[in-house]
Parts: sequence; C-alpha cells; structure tokens
Amino acid sequence: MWWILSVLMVIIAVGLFMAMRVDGPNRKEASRLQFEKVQFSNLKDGTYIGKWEGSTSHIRDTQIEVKVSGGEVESFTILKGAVPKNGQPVKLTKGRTIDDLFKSALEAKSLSVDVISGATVTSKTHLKAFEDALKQAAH
Amino acid sequence: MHSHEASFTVMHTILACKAYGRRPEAALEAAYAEVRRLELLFSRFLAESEVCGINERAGKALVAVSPDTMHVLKEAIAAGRRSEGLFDVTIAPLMNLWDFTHASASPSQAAIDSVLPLVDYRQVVVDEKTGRAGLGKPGMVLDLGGLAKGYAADRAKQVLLDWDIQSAYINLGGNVVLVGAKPDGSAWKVGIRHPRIPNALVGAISAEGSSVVTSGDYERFFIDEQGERQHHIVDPRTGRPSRSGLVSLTVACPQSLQADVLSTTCFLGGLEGCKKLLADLPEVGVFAIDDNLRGWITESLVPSFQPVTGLDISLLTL
Repeated sequence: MWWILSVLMVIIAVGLFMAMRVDGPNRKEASRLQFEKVQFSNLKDGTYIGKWEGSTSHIRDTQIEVKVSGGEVESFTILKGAVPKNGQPVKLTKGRTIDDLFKSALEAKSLSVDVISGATVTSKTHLKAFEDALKQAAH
Repeated sequence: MHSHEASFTVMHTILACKAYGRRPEAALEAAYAEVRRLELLFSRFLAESEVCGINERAGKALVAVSPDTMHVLKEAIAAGRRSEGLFDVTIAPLMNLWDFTHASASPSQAAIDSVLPLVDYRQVVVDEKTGRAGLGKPGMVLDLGGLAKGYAADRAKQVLLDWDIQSAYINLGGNVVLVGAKPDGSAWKVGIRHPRIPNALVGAISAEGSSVVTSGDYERFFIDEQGERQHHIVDPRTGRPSRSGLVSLTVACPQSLQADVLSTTCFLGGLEGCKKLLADLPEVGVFAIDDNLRGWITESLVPSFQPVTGLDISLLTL
C-alpha cells in the first residue's frame, strides 16, 4: 500500500501547483477538506471512480479510477486533476512510474531550487477522490 | 554529455534522480537496482528480508546477515550509543502503537508503558565473526527506517560514480544526495520545505557532493482530541512524539547515512541536544526551526544558506 501513498505525495505536489495558479473561494474550499478513516485492505474487487467536486468552481475537480484486485488496490489512474497538458490520463502502476508528473512537480516550484529536502505535503482534492473510491470498495 | 531524469517507487517512497554523463540513463537504472536490492534486505514489510528474519527470531536466535545489513546495524548501534538512546532502531513497537498513518487518538499511557521495555537498541546483537545478528528479547522489532534511506542513497551515489557520472542529484524520499556540482560548475540548490505552509520553502542550501536531509513534524501527524499535534518523530525515552521545541531540522554533511541519523537525533535532542551531538562534528551543518518559527543555523552552514522568506534566523553556537 505504501507505494500508493508515495505516488499520491507526488501527484499532490502537482495538485498544489495547479491550486497555486488559480486563486479564489474554490481554493479555500479545497484547503478545508476533512478526511475520514478509510480501509486500505479487504476491499471488494472491481474498478471504482472516486470524485471530488468543488461547489464554487470546478477548476480543482478531481477524478481517480482505482482498480482493486485480491482485496487490495492494484493500480490507479488520474482521470481529472493532475494530468499533463495534453489532457491524457496518467497511468500509475507499481515499479516504474510517473516521470512526467514528478518532473512537473519539480518544475512547478517557483523558486529556482534543483531538488527539495523533506517529504512532500498532500493535495487534498486528490486524496479526497481516492478516499471516495476506497469507500465504494469497502465491504 | 547527456542528461537523464527518472523516478522510481522504492523503499515505500520515491527515488527521483537526475544525472549528467556519457550514459546517464543506464547509470540511474543501476542506482535504482542498488536501492531495490537494499530494500529487499532491509524492509520489515517484506517477509523474505533479512530484517524480517531477525524479527521472527527475536529473543531466540541470531540469523546470518549480509555485509550491508551488518554495516547498517553497527552504525545504528553506534548512533544509539552516541546519542544515549535518542536514536533507537528498535522503536517499531511504539510506532505500531501510535499508527500515525491511520490514528486520530493517542494510545493510553498504560499501552505505552507496556511496550517501552521492548525499545532498547542495546539489545541489538551483532556477531561479526560469524556474520550473524539478532534481537535480545522476544517481541522486539527491528526497523532500519531511521537510516536505511540514508545508506541506500549513499550506495546509489557510489553506483553513479562507478558509472563515471560527475554531476547528479538523488532524492530518496527527501534524503538528498549530490554528486559533484551542476554541469555549469555552480552548486546544486537544495530547497528546505516550510514546516507550516504547504508547498512553500523556508530557504535553500547550496551544496556540492554532499547530502542534505530534513526531519520535520509535518510529514506524518494527526491532531488529537485535545487539539495537540501528534507527529511521527517519537522520543524513545518517553514513548511520545518529541516535544523538543523543534518543528524541522535539516542536516548537511558528506554522508547521507550520517545526515539521516543526525536529522532525527538532533530533532529529538532539541537545540541544547544539538550542541552536544554536534560538538565533535565540524563537517556537519544544521539548520533548525523552533516552534516559534525562528530559524537556527550553525556557523559552518551560513555561507551556503539562502533564506527565501522573512524568517527570523539566529546563530546556533556549538
């Protein structure tokens, strides 16, 4: 399960970058999101689409498709949210992944640093969409 | 000269790296393979790992371990001794109890008291002659999380050097290791995350060929019923999240293993503990942020530190 959280951290940096670019009430709404406990194992096999939608604007709306097999999350794809410029969904799988996402996360930093020390903070809208999918998959 | 950038998921985190050289792509693949090899030895979540073997036989027998595991265990014991137990690789029973990833409430004092006797780095046994290692008491759990990433990042750097890479950075879950300077000859700039403002930095350290590691209370935490932040850096003496007065501590020094160990240890030690821990280590630079968001910096790090916000900074005199 940890790889998924790691991957989320990266997505999240990108999500935050996007959030930085457009200000407004929608940002506040996203920043105030609260999270519930979700289970990460003993899930029902299948494919679920988790969503987060803003009420004041749709700029941060996020959709994540989560595939569950063997009771655990096997992979997930971001359908809406932190996707590259061409709008194609980014497939995230175990092992080699997310070159593009990570690069844009680093480039997104307005300061001219090459690399950042310390773990990354989270993009709440992506986590919220992920939580929504997991809730659907819970027994 | 070519450049290549890649990221991999390994050791429950992300390995992001960039290298310049003749064959940077193959070099980065080889560096990843080395980190993955070490994960298979060190992970306490992979049943076949050497660490799992040690945990399964805790209190019963020593098990044969590789030279890598032996080396890391010896470093861990030495770090425990130097810090008088602040750095403890047997802290896992406490971490399991706190469960920072999922919990929203603190464990009871009784529960903490019941696992504290299992946390004691002095019960880690290594027998170099026979190449065996183990834990002295049943129920103890070895977790190399406090230094495995540092060691792996050092090893990954060595792989890049073996591939004749003269300019690169490796970022293994926030443990940054640098090979040489940037191709244009200027120093790498390593950003230090702001401990309270998401996506902001408090400053940058210019560095060449060294390692920069940050420990912060903002990485994993929950806010309990009393509204108090319970973060993942647990003090093995009390069994509770550290209240050393620091919220972030960055170490810059030649070896990432040392930086990894010292970032946690100095965080737990607080400003006073830092002075003691760093007294004989002139090559180590530290930048700390206390809970009033005041910055503290050692003199050796001043020339390479660039603050990026209106942070109030004082000299940390050793």
